[in-house]
Amino acid sequence: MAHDLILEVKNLMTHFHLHEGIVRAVDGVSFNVRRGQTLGIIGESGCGKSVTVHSILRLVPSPPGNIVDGQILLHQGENGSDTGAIDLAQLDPRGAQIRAIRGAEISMVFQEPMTSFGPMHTIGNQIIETILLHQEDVESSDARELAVENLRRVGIPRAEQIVDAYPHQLSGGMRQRAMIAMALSCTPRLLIADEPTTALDVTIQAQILELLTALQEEVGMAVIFITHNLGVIAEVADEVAVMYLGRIVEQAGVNELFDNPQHPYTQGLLNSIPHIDEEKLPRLRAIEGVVPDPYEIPSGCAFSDRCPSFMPGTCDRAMPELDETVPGHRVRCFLYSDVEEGLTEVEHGG
Amino acid sequence: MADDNELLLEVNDLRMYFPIQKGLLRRTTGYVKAVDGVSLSIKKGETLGLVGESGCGKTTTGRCIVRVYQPTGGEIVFHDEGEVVDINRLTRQELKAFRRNMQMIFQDPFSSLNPRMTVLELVGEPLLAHGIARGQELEDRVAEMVRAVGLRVEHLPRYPHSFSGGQRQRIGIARALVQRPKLVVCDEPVSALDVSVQSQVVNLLQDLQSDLDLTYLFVAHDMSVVRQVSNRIAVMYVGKLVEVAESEELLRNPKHPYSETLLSAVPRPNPHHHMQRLNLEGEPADPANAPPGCVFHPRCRYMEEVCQTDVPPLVELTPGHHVACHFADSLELQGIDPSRSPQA
Repeated sequence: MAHDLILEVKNLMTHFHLHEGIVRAVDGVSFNVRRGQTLGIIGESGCGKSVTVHSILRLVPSPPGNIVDGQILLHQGENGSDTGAIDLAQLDPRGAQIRAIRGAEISMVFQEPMTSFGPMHTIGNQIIETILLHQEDVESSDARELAVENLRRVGIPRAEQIVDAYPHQLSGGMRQRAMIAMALSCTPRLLIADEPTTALDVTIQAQILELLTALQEEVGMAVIFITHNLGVIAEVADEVAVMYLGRIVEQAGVNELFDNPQHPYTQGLLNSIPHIDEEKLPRLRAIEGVVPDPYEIPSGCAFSDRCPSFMPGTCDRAMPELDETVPGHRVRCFLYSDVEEGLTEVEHGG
Repeated sequence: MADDNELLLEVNDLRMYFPIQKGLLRRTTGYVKAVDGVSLSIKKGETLGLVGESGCGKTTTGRCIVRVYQPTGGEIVFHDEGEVVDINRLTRQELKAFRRNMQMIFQDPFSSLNPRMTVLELVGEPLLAHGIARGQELEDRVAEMVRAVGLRVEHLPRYPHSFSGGQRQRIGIARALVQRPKLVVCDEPVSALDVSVQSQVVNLLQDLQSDLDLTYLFVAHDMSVVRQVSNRIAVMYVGKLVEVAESEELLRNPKHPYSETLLSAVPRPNPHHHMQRLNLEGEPADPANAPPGCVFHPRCRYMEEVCQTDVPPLVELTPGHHVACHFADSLELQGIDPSRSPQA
């Protein structure tokens, strides 16, 4: 179903050139996003998940950040008529083309609903601005009506009054709903949600997750959902990519990933969290060590210094490839790939 | 663990009202009842988990107990080797000396450590302030504590900025425990940490508890973490306790509708989990303007007329299981069921 393809990220590399050295925040990430599908990206702080999606919208501050390699192909055309693709990586981050895409074709919901609205304008004015900017056929007199309708769609009570409220007058959950209303106001084909529920309480988080799922069904958009919470990802994602230090280390369908995690890091993450539906363990099975400093990434596999299955002479010599182990399930680990092959590539200057 | 029934702390009818001041004359126009009549007890060597959503008063309760705040009313009785002390009545002088018995571990390892102090100074400061140790003895005790929390002696001359979040939290733990307190109030100690580091710090807190005979009040919003560390769990909603029970009992057999929803809202790391989620409508009540009757009634699915008028008292339903709900003994609520889980 190639016509369903909305976004193709190929070998994306976003590096930050700092005084201390180069931080390879995103170092060769590839994935596809399809219509109606949710891709979950999970990882700990510093794994590059936010930089990946900021790169898609070209929001990475430059300097110091630069997309040094790779393609971000946004496929055009409705209903299967693929009229070619734009490579977002080639666009001027301040140019008219990317600005026409942001908020219209791809929009984003941020973690902090407090800081992502401007405090000086009402919620309504900010939504109206988005609508007028991207939808030329809408008269300004109708835009307000549309804004109210968008607020109502995300379950905000008394939308006619809330439209004139300032962000600080709303609670965290309501602000996040308003944020979603703004993001969806131009019916984007792709919604990027960067930790949208992390700052919220569990009962509010449950409401927002349900809202996002329902809206996705209604609109049919694709979603990239970033989180560090394995419980949230299990609930919202169709496909999951696990990131560690700038690379995808494992990618599979959500059921396959949770039923059959293969990378030692994924296994470690799943084992280390308390599972509320199971018998309580006397101790949690923690992953040893900490995420290394970006300037001191171990040679070979980046996880090798914390890995319980570390194989000396192999894992510290080369970075394994992201190989398919079963159809649709890819893992970056020498436990599953041909060790000799990986090492020969290195010796041949790879 | 010490004698199972020996009490360390008893809190009776704790109230903390923050005045709302308006206008030029700062006239008080109302009160935010952050904590409104909380009673609980903690036994020696146990961990009491205190859970609830943001704004429910769980942090304020913890801060009142170590008297960072001067509570509006109520008793905080500390049993100290036969002596009984009401923390709320201590004078400033007495309080200063008493503080070494109770310490706090904070949520944010970035803002809770002074960036201009080295690890040695940070961890040694409480010993100096209380005149417990100085000079070489201080360094020895700091070094011992730093090793106990999993850091190395080479870290002592370093500043907080050179540590990761998890390591900073370890420094905060060392600073709290170096003077050998009896009671430690842990205020969301792992919620700012990365997933893989959370479990390390949870394990560390459990190890230190048995090594150093500590008693914890563990304040957090994450039910699964609280269950991991707590012997008993207290659930708080808008300034009041709604349920207190042994932790497994509370999870498997919740008796308050709010506890039930809280449990059902925990996101499960299991894509096959399709439990009917009990969604809460609306948001927590405003503690400055709490609804009459049961504070939870505007969001409660089982609400009846009496809930809108009468405040339900916290009563002991079965031994050790306290609930504040008019219909606690008749409601059939849904808890967790490990026997149904595939991996159990």
